[in-house]
Amino acid sequence: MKAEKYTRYERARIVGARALQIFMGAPVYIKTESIDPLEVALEEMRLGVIPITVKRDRRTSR
Amino acid sequence: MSLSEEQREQISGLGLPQSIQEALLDGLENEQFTKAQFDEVIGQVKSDYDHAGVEPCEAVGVIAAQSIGEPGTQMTMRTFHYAGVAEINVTLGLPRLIEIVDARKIPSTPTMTIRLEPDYARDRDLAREVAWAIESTSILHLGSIATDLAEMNVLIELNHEALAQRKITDEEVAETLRSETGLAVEMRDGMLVMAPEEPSYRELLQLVEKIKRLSLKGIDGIKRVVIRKEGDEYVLYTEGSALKEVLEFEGVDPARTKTNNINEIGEVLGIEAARNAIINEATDTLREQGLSVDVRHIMLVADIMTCDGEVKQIGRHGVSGEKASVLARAAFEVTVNHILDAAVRGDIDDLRGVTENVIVGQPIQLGTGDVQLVAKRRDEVIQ
Amino acid sequence: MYKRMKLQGVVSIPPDQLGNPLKESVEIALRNKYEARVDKTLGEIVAVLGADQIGEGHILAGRGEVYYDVVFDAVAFKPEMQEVIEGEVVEIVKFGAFLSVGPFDGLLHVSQITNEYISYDEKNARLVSKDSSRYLAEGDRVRARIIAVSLNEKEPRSSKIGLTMRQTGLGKVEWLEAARKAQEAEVALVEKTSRSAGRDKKAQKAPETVTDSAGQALAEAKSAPADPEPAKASDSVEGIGEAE
Repeated sequence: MKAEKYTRYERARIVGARALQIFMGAPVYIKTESIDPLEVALEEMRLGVIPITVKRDRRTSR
Repeated sequence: MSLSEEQREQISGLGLPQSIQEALLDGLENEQFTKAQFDEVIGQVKSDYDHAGVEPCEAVGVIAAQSIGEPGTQMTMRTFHYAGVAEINVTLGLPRLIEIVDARKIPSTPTMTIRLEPDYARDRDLAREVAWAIESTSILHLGSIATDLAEMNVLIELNHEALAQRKITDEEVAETLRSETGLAVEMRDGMLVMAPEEPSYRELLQLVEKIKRLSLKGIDGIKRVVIRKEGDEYVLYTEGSALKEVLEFEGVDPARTKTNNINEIGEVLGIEAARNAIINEATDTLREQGLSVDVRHIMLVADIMTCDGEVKQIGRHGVSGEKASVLARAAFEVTVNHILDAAVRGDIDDLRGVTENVIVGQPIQLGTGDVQLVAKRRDEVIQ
Repeated sequence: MYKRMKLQGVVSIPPDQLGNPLKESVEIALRNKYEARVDKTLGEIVAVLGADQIGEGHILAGRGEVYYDVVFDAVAFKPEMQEVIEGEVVEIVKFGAFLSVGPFDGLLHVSQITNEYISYDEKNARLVSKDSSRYLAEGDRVRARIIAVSLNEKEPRSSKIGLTMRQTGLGKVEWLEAARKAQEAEVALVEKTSRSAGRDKKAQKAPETVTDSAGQALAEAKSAPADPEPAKASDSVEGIGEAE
């Protein structure tokens, strides 16, 4: 899967939201030894498997 | 080797600004390179350009404010600087910067820089002629004025050398005086003689004052013109500004003539010119103080000030005072009045801006706060 | 009456359910959130039938849940004023009887049962009429009209419905049956006499009105769902029958 281009703000939000999901018990999509949700989320980000994306067309629709 | 059509298209397809495209074409023209080298050059330019760009959601306004504000603290509070030439002084430093963002209708020291057409610019005498034609000429430039209390007359003695220099004849002077005052002007022994309607001492003195104030030739608002040689051309500096009139003068190069009155530029040349004037004036003021601020910060300020089609100040009667949000305006100045007026009108605050959301304690629409996340479907995630 | 409708709502899926199929978790969340909820305009949502369209899942700042906009099918029961319902007596108390009206219990006050005086028979848990020895007991099927509705959105349990049976065509099913038989007998009698004598227009008129109002009430009860979505509404009533 090709990793999309995100701005640094988008990356921060995606990783943050994903880490919270993992912390709250969401299934993890990678094999990892780590038990730190943030580390897991960062690793998922590196591999491009985070099930979250960004909605960008909002400004025109609002 | 020149660029192939395909390569030109490749460059124009990169989405770079015109100036960078042209620089690229100029640089590559008549150079030897392989396909791989060409791609590398183009790729490097593109990635450098993208890197220099601002990311979406960046708080550019805050950064611009800080980037201009911090150097501003180092500026001298009160500076009057002689713009290269004696006698003409120009407000510079912090007062000038404040003047620019306040969008004052008339700056405290209006001044123009007039550049001339090539023929005039090289020739000292022609340049001086233009200067005298532009400078507002009063009777004191041309001679002396005296009163004869016995006859209840005003006597004007004209200096013929000065008349010749300024290309004006005594008849012309007499004609102007006649039409402006509505009184008879007699020529007597090379002197102009005028008498007030009523032969009183007060009337006589008032007439003298009136004559002194009259502009006989030139442009009314321009009190002084100074000629200065810059490189190989003569440039005129003025005290006072009248862009529209000056541009019409024979010998003046309208494309290179400017004034420091931003509002005047806006009125005469349009809002885009006013925007550029704000950028130039602010940059020059900062540079003169030895401060360098990235032009993009100043461009943002200039854009905000001019985006409505008229020059607005950054303040109560402009950008801050016209914000759509009641809360944002109340946070800026006269809080109670704004809230009271809004209550009377039944205004609604949509809470779209930054200030309002800070006030009510919501995430603001900036940086990570402006990112809206959407969950992908499971089948989208797992191939 | 029961209505089947398409509703729009938002459900949150907690992170630990993100691994499950989306439709499944959304439907579970919909049931938990909307079933047994009372709304002033919709009535009580009796059942969520299933999610129709699931929109984008939004993730809000500082929250782990995913919020989905969902369009879903649901069946709701709304007690309408003047609606005629048939229900079962679920409880007899001193001041009247409680009937089951869809998902609600409606109160049939002693004063609204018959035109006669009704007394409470505590021993048998029955309400007995003084003159004609009619009675009402738990488990009886009755037909009544709704005359007061007060829905409470925050506490569905304390929603109140008032009922009456003191109108023609209303009452315990057995009474109505008996009345109908008596009517038929009378009509036959009147027809016989009018043919011979051809008099008394009132006698002709009276039976008509009785059958009319009873028939009307029945028709109303049957065609009641005709209001918003006729086609869907009628099969929804059947759907409920099966579900129960």
